[in-house]
Amino acid sequence: MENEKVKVADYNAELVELFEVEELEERMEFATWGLSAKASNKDTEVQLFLALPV
Amino acid sequence: MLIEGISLSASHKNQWVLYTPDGRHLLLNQASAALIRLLQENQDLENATTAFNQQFKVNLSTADFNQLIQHKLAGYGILTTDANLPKRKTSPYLSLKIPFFSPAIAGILSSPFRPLFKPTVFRALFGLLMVVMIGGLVYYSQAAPTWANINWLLVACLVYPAALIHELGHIAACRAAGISHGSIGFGFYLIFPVLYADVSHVWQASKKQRIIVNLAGVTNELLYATCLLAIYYFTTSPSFLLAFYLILLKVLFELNPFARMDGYWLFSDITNTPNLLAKANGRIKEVFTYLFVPSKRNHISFNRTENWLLLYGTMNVLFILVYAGIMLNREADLIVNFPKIVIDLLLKTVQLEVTFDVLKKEYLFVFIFYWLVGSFLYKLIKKLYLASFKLSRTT
Repeated sequence: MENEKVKVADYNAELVELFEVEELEERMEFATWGLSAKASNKDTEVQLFLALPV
Repeated sequence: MLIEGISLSASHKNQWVLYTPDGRHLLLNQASAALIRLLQENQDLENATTAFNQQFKVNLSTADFNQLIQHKLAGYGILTTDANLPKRKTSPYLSLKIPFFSPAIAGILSSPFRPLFKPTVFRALFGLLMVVMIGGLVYYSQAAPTWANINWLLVACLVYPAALIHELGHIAACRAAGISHGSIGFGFYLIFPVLYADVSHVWQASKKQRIIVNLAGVTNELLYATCLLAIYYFTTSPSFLLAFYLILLKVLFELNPFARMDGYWLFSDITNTPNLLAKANGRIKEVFTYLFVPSKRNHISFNRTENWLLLYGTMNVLFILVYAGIMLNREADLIVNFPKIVIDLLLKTVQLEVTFDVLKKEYLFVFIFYWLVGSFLYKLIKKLYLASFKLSRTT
């Protein structure tokens, strides 16, 4: 968006800086797909993973 | 000069949010908002210049005013001169996005939860849920389930719907606040599979409303976990207790302030720092360039805000690396051997020996991993090539 050749920015930088514009990021609210719980070591331990168990 | 269909709404402390017909949200300060209103009221350049000079007590020519407009507003798709801009890429940080509930369907499905997210009801409910969670954890801390008695299929059936219930919470909170919303779907954030709810319009809401929308997902999950705890109380089936614990763990993970989880948006809103990750990553790049690329070294300042952005950005990178490491470690052998597996499968296909038995579901995860890493490397190489091409043209 910046254009260094803009004349008005050269002679009136204070005026140009008065105007602030910022594009906001998209908001996607995530949820981890699920937790997988794997039984191991003959059912005495459980390992938990924050992941999709594909 | 301005296209039709843009809208302006008040935000936090003399800030305004402009919504464009192609789905962008721009944060404006008071002066920029005044400029937009002035352009909406004066579509003719000469009239707009006169109005601008009167309002801002300056004496710009029409050409200079036009330059100012182009300098500040071009490229966002709001000026009529932006008509030929390439189409904006949506969801830049979400890959393989598959929406499966349209905004209308998501709205209908979320309707039972909507009354929970009126501000007074929400505050009481959230407080109550905290008490139930802590009470449940303390009371049942001695009743750790015996793994032998767990019905794993039941646990999976109880835990997985929590992700959808979570997303419906966000949508319900948007509806309760009268804010429009997008779809619910599935996608990959970096290499992580996620469900998503598109709540971009929440930028038009107040800070309090945004915080409710941010917390609505975990609130719905905690409510669901409470139901599971109640079922455990009556049935003493350990699978329900384990599902309760797992959902609590999932909620804690989702409240972390990194990697664009719910905690990220919460942290961003509470600290009034929009585009938090982009700013933190920009700061890391700036410091990295200063330290390691002397030819591009610019003056660098270290104030309080910039220091915490650097700290936050560094912690975010570490968090993603550790999490990705844990996930990849699970399938490390498969990832290393995947090219050989693919070649074997191709050979078997040519020899008409391939059967469904040899196809494993793990291959899908590894294939997606390779695809995402490949597309990342392709973009990186393309960017470096274009940068070197530009450099060679200027020298």
